[in-house]
Amino acid sequence: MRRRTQITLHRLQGDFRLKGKGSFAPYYALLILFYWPVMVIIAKAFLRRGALAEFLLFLKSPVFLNTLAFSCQEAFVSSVCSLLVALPGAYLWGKYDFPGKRYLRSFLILPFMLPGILVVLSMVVFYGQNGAFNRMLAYLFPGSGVRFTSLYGFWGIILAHVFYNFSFCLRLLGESWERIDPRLQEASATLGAGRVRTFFRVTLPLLTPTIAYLLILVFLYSFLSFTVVLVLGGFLYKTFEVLIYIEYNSRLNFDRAALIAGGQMLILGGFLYLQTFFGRKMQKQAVFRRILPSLTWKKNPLVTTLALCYSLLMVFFFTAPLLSVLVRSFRERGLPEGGFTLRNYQQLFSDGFRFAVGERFFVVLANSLALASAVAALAVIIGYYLARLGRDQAWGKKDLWLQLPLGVSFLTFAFGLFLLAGRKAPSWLLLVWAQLFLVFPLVYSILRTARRELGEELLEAAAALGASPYQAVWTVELPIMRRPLQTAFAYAMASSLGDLSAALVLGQGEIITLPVAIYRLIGHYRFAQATALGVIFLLLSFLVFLLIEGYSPGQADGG
Amino acid sequence: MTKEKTASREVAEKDMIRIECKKSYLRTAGSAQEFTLQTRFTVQKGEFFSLVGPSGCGKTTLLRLIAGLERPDQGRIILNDVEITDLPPSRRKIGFVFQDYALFPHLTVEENIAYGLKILKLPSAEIRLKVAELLELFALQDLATREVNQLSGGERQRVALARALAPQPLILLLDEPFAALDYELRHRLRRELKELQKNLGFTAIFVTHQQEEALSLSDRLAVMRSGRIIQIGTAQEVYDQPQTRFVAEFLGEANLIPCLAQSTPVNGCLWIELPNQRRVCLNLNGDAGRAVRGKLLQGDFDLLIRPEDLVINPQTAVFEGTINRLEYYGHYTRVEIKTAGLLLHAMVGKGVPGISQGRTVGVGFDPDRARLLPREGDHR
Repeated sequence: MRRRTQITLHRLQGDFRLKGKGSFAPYYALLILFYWPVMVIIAKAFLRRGALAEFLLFLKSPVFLNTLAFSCQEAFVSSVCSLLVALPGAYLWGKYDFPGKRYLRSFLILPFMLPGILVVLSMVVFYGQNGAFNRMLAYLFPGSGVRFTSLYGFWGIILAHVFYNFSFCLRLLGESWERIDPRLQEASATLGAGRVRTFFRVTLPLLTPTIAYLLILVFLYSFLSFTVVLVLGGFLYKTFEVLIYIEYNSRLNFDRAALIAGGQMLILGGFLYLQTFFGRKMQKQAVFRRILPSLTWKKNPLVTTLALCYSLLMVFFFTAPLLSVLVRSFRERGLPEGGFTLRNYQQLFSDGFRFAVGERFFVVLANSLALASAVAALAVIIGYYLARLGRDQAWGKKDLWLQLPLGVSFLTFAFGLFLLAGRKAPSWLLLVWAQLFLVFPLVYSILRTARRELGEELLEAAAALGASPYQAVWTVELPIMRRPLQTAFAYAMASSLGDLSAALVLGQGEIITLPVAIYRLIGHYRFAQATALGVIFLLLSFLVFLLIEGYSPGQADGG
Repeated sequence: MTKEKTASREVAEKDMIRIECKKSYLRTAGSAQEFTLQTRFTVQKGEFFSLVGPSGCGKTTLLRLIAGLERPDQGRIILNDVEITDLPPSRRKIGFVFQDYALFPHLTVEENIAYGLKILKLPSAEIRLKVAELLELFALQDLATREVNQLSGGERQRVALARALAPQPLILLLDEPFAALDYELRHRLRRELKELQKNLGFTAIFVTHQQEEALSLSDRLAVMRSGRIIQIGTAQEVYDQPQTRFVAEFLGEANLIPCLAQSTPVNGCLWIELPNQRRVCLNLNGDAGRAVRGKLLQGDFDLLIRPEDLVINPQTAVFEGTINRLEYYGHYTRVEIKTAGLLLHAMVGKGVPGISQGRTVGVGFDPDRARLLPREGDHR
């Protein structure tokens, strides 16, 4: 008798599935979760009676024109300044190898990961009236009366935006510079072009897509800025995000808020198209890996000196505000001249804290951590499931539909969600829903790219060595995907931890997170406690950053 | 009758794997088009069998079907007298060496080798022992704790082989394992692989698109084209007695001279007329006419003469032509001769006099070394 009978027990069907099969139900569920609140905003903004007339009237109103003018102005200046500040660093990055470059690469993610409210707090503490910066100016120019008094205004907002954005501009532009094939410059030289001409004719055109992409990206981030403008803008300066929040929160004018949100969506459409266009052009740049010459004092004394000066300036620009939060958190009443104390930390457990914030410290901390963990876990599980499902397909339309959050401001979404389910669903559920929308595009991009890079061959190799599909996933796929999973989780946590807008709109006073607590402490002029809470928040962000350090895109083992 | 039965049983017992399958799939290289792979062949125990053919002819798909990484639409695969067509790859006991090795990047060299043994749930002591043996066999002892991304191409290749052989598969499949290596290393590893296969006695199916590799390694080889096996035989058989123009041209260089065969052979001599109206007698009892023996010997044929079989300035020349181009390859020179509307290629060793560009030369060949190939049904 043939041994076939025995073997058919282990039939291929249901035993080994190499090709991805599974339900797309989570995909469609996500689409509903993401698009429904946006539809609600659109309906409320444009589909009610008289909406169009009201919208046209709004477009002509001084509020709209002033907000548009300010938003465009601050976004433009922020993007240009961020790029200008990053440019020398990008040059050094792209042309030379230097000690600590690897660590700098990691370190440069940190500013981008910082919660907005923490950046604002650092700015206030360092550049404020009694801040370390003004004390330094007074020390350097005694009696001259030179002071920085523009923190609460246009230049304060620009400063905060540059602080936020310059680091990733430096990294992206530097990496783009690094990838330029030196033979192109050599070819240009052999054809008679000097250094300057080669720069303008060869290097700059090759960098242009990245520069354009970064300009538009920072422009968009700044255009949609909420926390920074909310705190530093005062009554005079508002972005559309702040305007939506004021209409919703202070004036309870939901129709108006929806109208502004709808208008902002239309404006964003154009910028997003440009961003996608330049993003694609940038990705087309050939990847050229080469060994860069070392930057040494002996070979390049001038460049080395300039590089050192630039690095010191940037380290100062970035770390000084954060350090001053740390220092001030240990000063009496948070004042620069106060003596050393732990009182600010002790006061986090006092009734005063509860009075100002509305909740106990541990509850605030637990809220933030529980929310961030839940959102991150959910995003990573769904994201990985979908990434696995489409692993043998190139990035396509299906994926693009999941990128909607990049095209709609988060506050608009949160507001849409509030209109949709604000009175029906519990706040925590709405917050998870909203933050899932916030974190999903990045989480999905990381996991989708990493899973596709991994391919099928290693799993097939495991199968050929006798591993069942289950064993192949546990012993090969997940260990290799650990780092991207970890990074995606950490990015999701960082975004969720730093979110202020959804927490303000959807928390409805019931769920108070760390950013809300700091915002309220600043509102109550309790800077001392705000700095103490800020340090705890900073530590938390740093831990998340260490998690991210496990993996950065493009360095996947699965390569 | 009894003798025949015994012989056929002996052959069947020797068969390690029998493949008879058909699979249609979409080939996405260039524009997507449906492609059908249909093959039927057997590989014997301890044999080093190669699948050779141009890129995209279905070699890798065939290997993946054998490994169970793809399913055939029809047909069956029998390994060691057991049908494995529906068996998942993890239960087939077939080793696979992937083109770029597919080494697990999160494991060290020894962990990679131990992977299959751990899956078999062997006792740790046994695993350690087997891994140590394989590390020694493949001269990888010093690299045991290295991460695989720190290895050179040749080292990776050895780890991949050791890993695939560790669970003692019934058959080892190798998908162009030398493709990513440089010339020198490829040569060395090719020799090592052949020696290893001889010493350990495992059955191997080796995929390559490099004819030289297939010829030098294989006990037998199959030439594939467009999803089908065109010819199977020993390396010498397939090279010396190709059955089609495609096989002749794919394995080595070929001068294919159109000729006309004259009706009935006389005393085993078949007269053929060459394009320059010269007539040559081919001995049908020798190798030369084997491909066409027993067939209707009349009409258009191609006369295959390998470049190494062309002789320049012989005593009796068949063609006269001008040297069009000379290519120097060190140990031989490739000579291109223009004659009677044909371009002939010859290989000449060092020290052959009278060879320079533009010079008129006579060209001859030994009729016993030439092959007559049917022209119909195999157009390039």
